[in-house]
Amino acid sequence: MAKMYLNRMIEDPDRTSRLIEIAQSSLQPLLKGAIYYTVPLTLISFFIGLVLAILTALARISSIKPLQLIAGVYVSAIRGTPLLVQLFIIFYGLPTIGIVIDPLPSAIIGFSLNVGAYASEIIRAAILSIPKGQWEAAYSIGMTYSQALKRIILPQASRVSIPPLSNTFISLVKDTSLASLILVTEMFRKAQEIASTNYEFLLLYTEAAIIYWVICFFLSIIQGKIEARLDRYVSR
Amino acid sequence: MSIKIQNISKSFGSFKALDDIHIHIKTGELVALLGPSGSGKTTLLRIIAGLEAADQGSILFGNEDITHIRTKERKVGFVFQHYALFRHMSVFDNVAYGLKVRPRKSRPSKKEIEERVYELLRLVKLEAYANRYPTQLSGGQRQRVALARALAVEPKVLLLDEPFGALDAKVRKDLRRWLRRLHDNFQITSIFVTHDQEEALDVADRVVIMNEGRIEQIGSPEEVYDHPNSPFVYDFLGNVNLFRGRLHKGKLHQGNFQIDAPEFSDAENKTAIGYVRPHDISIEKEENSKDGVSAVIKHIHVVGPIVHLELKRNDTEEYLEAELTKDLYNNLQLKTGEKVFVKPKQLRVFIPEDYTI
Ligand SMILES: Nc1ncnc2c1ncn2[C@@H]1O[C@H](COP(=O)(O)OP(=O)(O)OP(=O)(O)O)[C@@H](O)[C@H]1O
Ligand SMILES: [Mg+2]
Repeated sequence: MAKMYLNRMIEDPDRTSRLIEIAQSSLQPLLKGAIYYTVPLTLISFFIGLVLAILTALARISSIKPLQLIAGVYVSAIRGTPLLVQLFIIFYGLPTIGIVIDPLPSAIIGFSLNVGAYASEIIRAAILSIPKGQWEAAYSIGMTYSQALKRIILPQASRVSIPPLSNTFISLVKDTSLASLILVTEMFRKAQEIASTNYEFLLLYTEAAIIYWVICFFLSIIQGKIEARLDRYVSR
Repeated sequence: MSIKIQNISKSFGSFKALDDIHIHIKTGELVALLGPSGSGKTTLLRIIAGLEAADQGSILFGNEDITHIRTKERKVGFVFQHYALFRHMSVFDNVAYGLKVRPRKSRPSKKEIEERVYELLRLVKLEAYANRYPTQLSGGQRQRVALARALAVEPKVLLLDEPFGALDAKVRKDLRRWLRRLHDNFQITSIFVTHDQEEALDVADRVVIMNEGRIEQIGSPEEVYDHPNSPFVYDFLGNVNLFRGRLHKGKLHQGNFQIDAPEFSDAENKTAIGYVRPHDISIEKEENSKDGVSAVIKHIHVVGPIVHLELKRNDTEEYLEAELTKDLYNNLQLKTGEKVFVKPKQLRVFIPEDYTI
């Protein structure tokens, strides 16, 4: 199959130039999809998810039983069900009981809940990895719980959690493609739409894949920079 | 601020870490908690700081019952056994943070904080290190940062958990003298934990000797060293020679030698042990009286102005330790292998069945 495809390209110069033309003309809509939807969807969901994750992690390590329970059920439910099913429940399911949410907000809710659950486990482990003595030292010089958390524990925990959180972030970039299935016109949906008019599925989906790859590549460079920065002072 | 520790007990599971502890500490006192590993020193200190809750009993600072008050409100300075410096902050910030996080109305201005921090860093001789991170400091320097951090919040009570534990002998000695001066200048009440008896006896006003979660003895360094009230304290504070024998009508008999023990004048033929410090053993070359024990000198170590003798008793074959001044040693002209007569100048008799250890 692959060979046939290549052969056809080489034997048929017209087709080759047509493909190049499609690739060029589709680049703009695809990038638009990435810039207007994929990237903002990722950033907003990750930010909300991170806040949710910190709160969930704190609830799980708190000594208040009901909080522990609620947080535990939330994490378990999200991690135990497919992301796609969650998105469908929010977008196609909720209208049944009168809750109608637009595609983009639905996607943001779904992805945020997802990041919140996964990242809370990372943050919980990172907080627990900070020696108890750091809390005690903070209390002994008169800090409150929230001061100790904000100024002593989280700064140290953040260094530990950057690599696994970067993984979550990169997964999220790719998972946003699922939003295409709840009608968000992000990059992958754009690729689908264009391909359905000219039937060049391989070309368009590959083009989308390359754009995802480029985004993730830059993200891992940024991750390295952040780690180096935090390492400066938390080296042991 | 005075500290009253009243019938404090604490168990971890079924293990009793502290058992009915009572200590009253006067304002301005420097008290040492001394005891073997696992005797509950850290646990007691943590309970005083509010880092651990007691199962029973109460703690008063001055007249205020603070048993149920949180650490943050107790306003104690705590120097941790393993420093617990904030690793992501410079030395300056470590010391400054206690002031920076105060509520706005009691918080000093930025400039005042800076002055105060540098004053403290000067005090601990670390001005030049203000911008370093804890990992870039030696153990002794970290220790001093921990101390400066604890002092920055102007505590009325300073608690130190083995503050000099990880340091070498010379630095320890300098630092503990320095701690004593600092304690006096700041007019605070301090409790410090140590398992180094020399350290405790050297700087503390009073020494609390702990064993297995209980207090064995409280007293001034002289009191506890010269008048231990139990075999444990005798053993724990310095070297001691044991004279095992039978106690009968105010005398401890051992073979054909006997020593007076007047406080046991009505004892009837009981097994007993006499405890004698090495420096309370006198050495004579001739048998002047009946109560000398004949022994042979096995080793002689001269350590500065003190001479340590290791002797072996001819009757029981037990080893004894004696200490004498260099002058006396020179007068006596003692030599290894020489036969001498040994006599306890001062001894304390305990009947073992009263002290099951
Ligand atoms: N959190 C805890 N859980 C269970 N047991 C504990 C706990 N903390 C202390 N213990 C036990 O209580 C006893 C007293 O401990 P503590 O740390 O007070 O001893 P310490 O006198 O400070 O000893 P060291 O000189 O070795 O520091 C020990 O046997 C210890 O194992
Ligand atoms: Mg200890």
